Amino acid sequence: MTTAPDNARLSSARDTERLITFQRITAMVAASLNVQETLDAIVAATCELVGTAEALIVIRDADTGELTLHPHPAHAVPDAEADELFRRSLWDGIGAHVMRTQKPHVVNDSGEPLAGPLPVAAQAWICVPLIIQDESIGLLYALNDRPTQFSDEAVTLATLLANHAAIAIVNARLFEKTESRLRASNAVFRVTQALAQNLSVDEVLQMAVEQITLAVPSAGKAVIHLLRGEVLDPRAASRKQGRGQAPHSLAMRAGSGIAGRALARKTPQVALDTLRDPDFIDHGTGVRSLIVVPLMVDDRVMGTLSVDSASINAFDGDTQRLVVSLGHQASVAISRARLFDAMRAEKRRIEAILNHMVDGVMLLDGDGRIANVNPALIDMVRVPASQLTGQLVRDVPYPVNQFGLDLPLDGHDAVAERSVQTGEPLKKAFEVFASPVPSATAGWAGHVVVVHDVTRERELDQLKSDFISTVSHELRTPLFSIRGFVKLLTNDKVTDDKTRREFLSIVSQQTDHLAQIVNDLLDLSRLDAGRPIEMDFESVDTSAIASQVVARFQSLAGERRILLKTDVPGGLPRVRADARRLTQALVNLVGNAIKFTAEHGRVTIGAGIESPGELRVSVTDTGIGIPADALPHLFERFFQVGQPSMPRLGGTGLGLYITRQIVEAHGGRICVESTLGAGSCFWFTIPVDTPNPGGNTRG
Amino acid sequence: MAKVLIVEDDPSSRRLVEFTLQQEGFEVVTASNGLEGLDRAQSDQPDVIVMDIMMPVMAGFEACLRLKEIPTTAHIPILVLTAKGHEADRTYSLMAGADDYLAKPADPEIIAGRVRALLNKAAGGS
Repeated sequence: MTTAPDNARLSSARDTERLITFQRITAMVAASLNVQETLDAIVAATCELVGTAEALIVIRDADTGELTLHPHPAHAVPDAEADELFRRSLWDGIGAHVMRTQKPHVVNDSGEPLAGPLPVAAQAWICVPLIIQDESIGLLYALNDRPTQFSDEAVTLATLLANHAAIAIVNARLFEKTESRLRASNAVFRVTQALAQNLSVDEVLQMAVEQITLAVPSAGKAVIHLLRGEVLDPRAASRKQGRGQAPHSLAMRAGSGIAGRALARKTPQVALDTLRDPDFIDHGTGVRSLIVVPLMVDDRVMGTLSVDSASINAFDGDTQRLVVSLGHQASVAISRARLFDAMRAEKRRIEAILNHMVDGVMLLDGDGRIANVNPALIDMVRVPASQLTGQLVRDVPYPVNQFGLDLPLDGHDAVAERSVQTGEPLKKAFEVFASPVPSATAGWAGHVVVVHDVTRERELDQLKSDFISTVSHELRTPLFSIRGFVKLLTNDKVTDDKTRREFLSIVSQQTDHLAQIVNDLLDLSRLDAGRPIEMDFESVDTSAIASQVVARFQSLAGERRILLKTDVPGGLPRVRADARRLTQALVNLVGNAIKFTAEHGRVTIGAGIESPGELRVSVTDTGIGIPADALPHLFERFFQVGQPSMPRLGGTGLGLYITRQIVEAHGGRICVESTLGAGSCFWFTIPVDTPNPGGNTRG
Repeated sequence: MAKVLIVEDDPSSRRLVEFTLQQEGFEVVTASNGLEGLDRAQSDQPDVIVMDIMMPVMAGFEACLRLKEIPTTAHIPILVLTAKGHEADRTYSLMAGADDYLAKPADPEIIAGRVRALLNKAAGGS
């Protein structure tokens, strides 16, 4: 027994202890964000301050209705069924009443120990509500297994401690909310950031799932599936859990499961207990909570975002809203990334086309400034790109300043031809096309200028028209004398036989000449059609052919006072050739040589061994020679050496072209060496005839 | 007897024109290119010149221009006789100083007729 002053002192000492305990709790509530630790401390303090054997805090989740217990001292976890009963017992009856009235409920002696609803067989208890903003979120029990006369002070203390618990929970919730908001906004920010970067579709998808698992701590796995026809292809999965390939990452049929429902309804689907969801397809992966958000752009579904968890009720309302919002962000990001992907591919395609185009291309912006030029244009005009881009077309160096066309305002294309001098004496003809590029809003965003080099076409046009006039001249000349002499002969204007024979001989010669021109034209048309010259090979004696050609031109050469001879050593091997064609080639070369050689000049047909298998046949003259710049074109069809100071000498311009074709058809090659004013030497090679066992050669 | 100078590089054409004009009673001298034609025109003083266009050494157009610049030949009428068949060639010939133009193949009598017409015109004019 203690005395009254002792009691008072003891009471005062106990008051101090209580005060210290209380202050510790207050400090803890203010400082700690660990709600578990704080609630454990509060229930311990309740036993100490209220003086009960046990204390218990019960928190009810507003969203899920789930109960969380914080007992003191800690109790062994009962088996699941008993646990569930126990948890519900706390809530029914007294608990529900206290929650509703928000008033402490005190029982000093229940008459007998009440087992069942409470963890201890309690006979006395105080039950006070935990209130946050006028709403009861849980209960604090102080329990004794014997009748206890609870003082008002005890009840007040219990109420104070319950308030502290509520504050601790509010603080923790606020913090958790802030933290998860931060995570959420971070995740949303990251996904939004992906929009701004030029990420590919797959990069965006991966970033989205990673951010979701970071933002939703309760998430097990986040997966994005994209629709490919009727199949949902897994395209990205979070790596958080590293459990290897779960069936979730397998392709799924788009019509089935909770995902199918999300796609069909075009709304997010939440299963807080998958086993109670009739659509859930259990792959045995232990998924108990699942959110599936359809990924949509303009009401068109592209795929799904699924977030799962191994526990039931894993996602509260905030989390669900976050996942849905991230799903929307991901949808936008995916469609943007797809657009970027398509644009990038298109850009690469256009660049590839522009870079490999033979035509020059110039892109002009709306102000008529050059935005871009392709390599072909630079190549054509020999002006560096740096002097072109950003400039107005009329201000850039020649000849590009010639390429600006005035576009008709009705949006039609403009075409023009520009002849420019790109070098001395290089003349070029360009065909310039300009097309307006419509802008997205109204009017024109600029235009595309395509520059096509038509120099070769124009040269060919010129050659062709020259050729036609040349051929007509070449045909008219023999025709003139044939017609004239025949008319004289038929009109009996020629009286003596000698003159008659002379004229008949001229007519015959001119007819041959005419026939040769016609043959050349036929050869040309055959070669133009891609057919080779027809060859009739036999063993041919080159010196005999050379002599025949010399004989044929002897009278013409004599008339022009030109010395025409052969210089062919005896004993040369025979060649394998078409005798008629070989003669034709030599006739062309000798005819040219005589034509371009002045009086008292020399023309010589030579032959010799070029190599063991080849003879070399040459026609050398002491004529006017050939300008160096004409040499490379000499064997082209229609080509004729033309110089302003030198009159054209006639001829069809086909002789050397056909001669080359003949030489090449024999398997030989033709060359020319010339010095202007001193003379020319044309030579060609021709294979020696090697007798073979088949024996179609003539010895 | 009127004298005609034929400037023509193609021997058979030259022979044809020469024979035709001789038959018509003209005295004929010949040259086988423009440069030779200039010499003959100055040395032989023909009454008419028949000139081809496409010739080596000196072409007909240039020969016409030169002949009209030389005081002793400037008055001689020139008939251009060419196988170049373009309308432009006729214009060029007249611009180069030619007095008449004939395209090959032309009948021998027509050539003779044109030469005579040029002679008459020259005689009437002087």
